[in-house]
Amino acid sequence: MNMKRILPLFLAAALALLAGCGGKKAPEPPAEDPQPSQEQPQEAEGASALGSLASFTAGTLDGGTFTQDDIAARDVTVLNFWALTCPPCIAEMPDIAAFEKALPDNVAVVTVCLDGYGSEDSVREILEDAGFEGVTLITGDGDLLDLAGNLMYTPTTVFADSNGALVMTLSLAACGGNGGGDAQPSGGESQPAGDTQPAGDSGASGGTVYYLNFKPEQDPDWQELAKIYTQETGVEVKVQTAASGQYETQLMSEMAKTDAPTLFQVNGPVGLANWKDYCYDLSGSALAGELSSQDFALMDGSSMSGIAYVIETYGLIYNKALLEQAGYTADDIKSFADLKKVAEDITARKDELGFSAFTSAGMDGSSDWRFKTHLANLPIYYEYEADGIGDTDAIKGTYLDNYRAMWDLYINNCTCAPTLLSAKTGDDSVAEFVTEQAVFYQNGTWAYSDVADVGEENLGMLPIYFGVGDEAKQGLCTGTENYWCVNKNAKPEDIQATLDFMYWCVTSDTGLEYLCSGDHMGFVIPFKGNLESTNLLVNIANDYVAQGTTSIKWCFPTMPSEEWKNVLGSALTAYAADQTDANWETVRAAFVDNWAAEKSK
Amino acid sequence: MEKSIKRYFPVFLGPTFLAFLIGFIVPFLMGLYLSLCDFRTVTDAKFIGLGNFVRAFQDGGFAHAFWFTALFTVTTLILINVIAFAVALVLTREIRGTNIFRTVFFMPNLIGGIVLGYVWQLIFNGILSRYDLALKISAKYGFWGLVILICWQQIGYMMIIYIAGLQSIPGDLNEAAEIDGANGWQRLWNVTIPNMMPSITICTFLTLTNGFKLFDQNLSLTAGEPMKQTEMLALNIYNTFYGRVGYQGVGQAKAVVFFILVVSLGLIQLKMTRSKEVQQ
Repeated sequence: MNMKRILPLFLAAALALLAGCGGKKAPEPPAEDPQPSQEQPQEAEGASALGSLASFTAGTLDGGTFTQDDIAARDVTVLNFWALTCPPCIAEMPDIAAFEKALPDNVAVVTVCLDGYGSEDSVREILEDAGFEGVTLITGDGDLLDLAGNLMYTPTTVFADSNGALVMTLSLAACGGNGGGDAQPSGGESQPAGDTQPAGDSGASGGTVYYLNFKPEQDPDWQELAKIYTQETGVEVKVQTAASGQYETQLMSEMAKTDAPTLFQVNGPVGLANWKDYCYDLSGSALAGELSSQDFALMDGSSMSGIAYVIETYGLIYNKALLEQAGYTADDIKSFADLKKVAEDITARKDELGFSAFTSAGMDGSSDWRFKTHLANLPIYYEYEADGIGDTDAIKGTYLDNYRAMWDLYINNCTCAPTLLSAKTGDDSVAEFVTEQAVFYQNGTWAYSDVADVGEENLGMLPIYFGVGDEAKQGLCTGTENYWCVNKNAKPEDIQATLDFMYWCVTSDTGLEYLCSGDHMGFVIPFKGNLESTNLLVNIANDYVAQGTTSIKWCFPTMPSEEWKNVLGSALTAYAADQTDANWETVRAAFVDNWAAEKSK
Repeated sequence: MEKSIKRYFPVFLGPTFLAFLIGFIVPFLMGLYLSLCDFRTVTDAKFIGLGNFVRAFQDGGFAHAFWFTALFTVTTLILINVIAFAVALVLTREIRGTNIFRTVFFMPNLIGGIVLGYVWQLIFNGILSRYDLALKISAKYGFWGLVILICWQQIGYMMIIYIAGLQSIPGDLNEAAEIDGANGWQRLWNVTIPNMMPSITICTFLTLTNGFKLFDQNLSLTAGEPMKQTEMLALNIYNTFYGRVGYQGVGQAKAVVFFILVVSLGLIQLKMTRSKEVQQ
């Protein structure tokens, strides 16, 4: 190897990396003269920290084997680690292929597809498209496995000499690696780098994170997590939580400040419309590479403006013991008609039983979203399904009669007179449920810690049967309206620190523990590192999916505006107080007419 | 003396003026400019001209809020001033414990508006629930709830001003009127009230502008429910600004209109009551 040979190699690699990730630059390769490590150990130190390739056996895409002997057969072996879920890797593949063809015989290029096993056809297709004709590994053990585990990003390219010692690595902040543990995307030779920010250790470069959190229930956990992260990395993380219902207000004033939040949240496409000019394009980020499905990215054209960080489910939470006391089990409730029968029977025997069917459908601001948003999702979902659409400018209100029937059921079979609902709060509902004054409580997985007091053995969750279609197949309502966005206008080092923090949250053991464990936030997260939940409601939700029911999608992020929801909520309250057809007409107008009006604005 | 005042006035005036500049003039001018802009955050705005004002006036909710506020202001202006004046008259008589009563009446003023709103919401709902009713189901309940709350809060404050006014009327005027044979009503109408005009000017000005600017209590007591029927001007502006995507500029335009409205009403009222003031 001499400089003449290695120079075009750099250029080709740099080009490949440029093509990789939305214009991000490659970091400077660390060694000017990358000789084999025995001669220049100090320059290869960073690379050898990843491991070596002295002893391993790997399986190739074509079914053959590849071992340290194949490495020994060449002066230099270039290994490109990539993944099917990593678009930048695929984008740079043609360059890798061209690079491979340009090299002399004493150098081999091998690609290692980290998630290729079981998806061989997809791997072949990508490689054929790219024109890559060399060897591709899809399984491996020994040193190769260790090395893959130490990688922080894909794509990463490593250069091994004939002894299997690693001479140099190249990588970029593209997609998250499969390295687990507390992998920090900072320091070392595989630093993330971008065109807007200097590559560098985020702690040393002074970036800070300011997260404006949406979920008050999880505030203490975020505060702790931030503290731990600061202890581990020295990067300051400030978490502030908006009061319930005050997020947009607070975001608006915080964003105007010099020290604006670097990490904030939008609630889907409608929220994004307000903030899209502030959203950093997350495509190609390490975090995006961790997503378990691209469905959880919130796109604004080709820009990945937001990434969902929690998947949630809601339905009718019920108290098994009370239901049995009333003479029923969950098996008796398989449709709206069943639910109505049970609820009305409980109401008829209310005094004798000592409890009601439903908790009060509180229309106070702390609770009205359960009906103006979550319950209203069902007629929207079924209409979208019937029409085969995902959004509309003019809702027809096909299933509003079902909505009315459901609302009637809630308000006429609850713990209080329907006229009192406007004064009932979310706390009232929870209190009624845990003090066993009511059997059913419409809410979701996030409410687990609130309702856990009734005892795990007593907790269950039913779908909100709506009287539409095949109700036996109806599942719970599952989706997300919580998307992380990174503030584009923040300082580059702060953006980098924020990306690092988010990545850490969804990959490190501590971060995952806090996000997923029932003792902490209890989230189901749409990232590869998601842990099995200890949240009972989440597990019930999983059971429903396993039983083959169809989950109801969250269509409410397509609701035209907050204004639309508020007007609907007021109309529902007015109707509850005086259940006339005229008042339902107000609800219908708030639903249908106001939809068109608000969408056109 | 005069010379040193001339020399040192910036030292005394400066801090206050600076505070006024930062806390009022600058935000006010920014607000004026922002009302002509399309913006999401106040530091990042795009000039669009008068479009926001057009949209503000097209909003039916704004007009409703105006009339609701006007009705509320007239009602509270009359109630607060009449009752506060009456209480002041009673508490300037020689009664035992007037100081305790004055303190008690004044105390509600020391509680913040948001807290008052929630406390009264509990009280009202507590009473109404006996009849299976709630505050937020009818605009009528909301209106009178707000009136009761504001009266309770402000009567004590106005009372103090009236008491101060009453105490400053020279005793010989009433004495002379009494000797001339004037009865109690005549003395009230022809001696006390004309001499009280400066206090009345202040109190009507305060109740008028307070009524128009009412926000905290409105937000916490009814939040505009039902169906925005009890939404007053300030709350309407707040909801427009913060509650709706892309309406920040419209909210700002409404705020400018609101400012002009309150200032002009205040000035008209000052002119009207000032002209009735008498020199002692």
